[in-house]
Amino acid sequence: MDDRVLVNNILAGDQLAFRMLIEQHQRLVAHMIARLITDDRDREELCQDVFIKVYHSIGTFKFDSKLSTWIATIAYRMGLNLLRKQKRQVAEQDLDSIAFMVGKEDREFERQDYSDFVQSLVMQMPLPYRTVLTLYYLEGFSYPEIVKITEMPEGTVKNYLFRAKKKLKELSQPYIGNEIEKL
Amino acid sequence: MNDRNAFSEDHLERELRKSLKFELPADFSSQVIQKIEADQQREAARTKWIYLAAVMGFVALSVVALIIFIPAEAKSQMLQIVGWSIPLGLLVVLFQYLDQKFVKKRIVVG
Repeated sequence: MDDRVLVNNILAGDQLAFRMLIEQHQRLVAHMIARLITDDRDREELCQDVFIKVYHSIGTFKFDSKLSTWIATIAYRMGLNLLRKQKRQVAEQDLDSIAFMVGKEDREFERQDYSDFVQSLVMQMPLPYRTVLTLYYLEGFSYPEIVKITEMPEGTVKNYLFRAKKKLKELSQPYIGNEIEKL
Repeated sequence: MNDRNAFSEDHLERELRKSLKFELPADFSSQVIQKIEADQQREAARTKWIYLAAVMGFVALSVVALIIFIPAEAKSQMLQIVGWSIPLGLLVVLFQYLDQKFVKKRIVVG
């Protein structure tokens, strides 16, 4: 269903239309929140709160972006607010200053599943890098859309994406070597 | 070396595009709708109590003002007026109830 029709139906009080909106966007919200918040209970509750906020604010949606971009913006802001409330570090941190844990032992990565390995590396990254990676790769948002959601300049978004990918490649090299040998 | 680089890049991008393990429950949309409905009911109840408190406050203030400012001889007349206004008010309520129950319903059905 077209965004405009869906929003108009919700504004007219159609509960089924709102249910459809949730089902269409719950993966996006779950991914965004999962990359920001670590506690599973907080995650689920926050996802609910995001959609409640969407329900109450849908009348202010101006159709100047895709509905998914608008919902992602709400999810991102609410995630940041929760982190600030929990006094977690939201401020920008330099990627190079982080000591990534790649395993308890030197060869730990060999026993780990590659997916888990990459996900654990992403979760150790500073918040803006995690967010940009999620929006670009997982949700397929374009640079202008990521700019709109995060309010970061486009140059910063590109820089974060480039540096995050470079770091991930660098850290996963030993694992990749292992994978190539297996082939 | 280039093959190795391309392989590692492809592999990494594929992993980055994979869905995360965190998933919302199957009845997530129902949970959200239930929460919205519960919030709306709570809000309606709160509004009703605020309205009731405002009306009660207004009545109480009016009574206090009347007791303080009305002279003693007018008070007995006032009590008479109150005495008449109670059965009159009840009649109005009864009329409204009967009107709602029998007349308006029949108009809608007709």
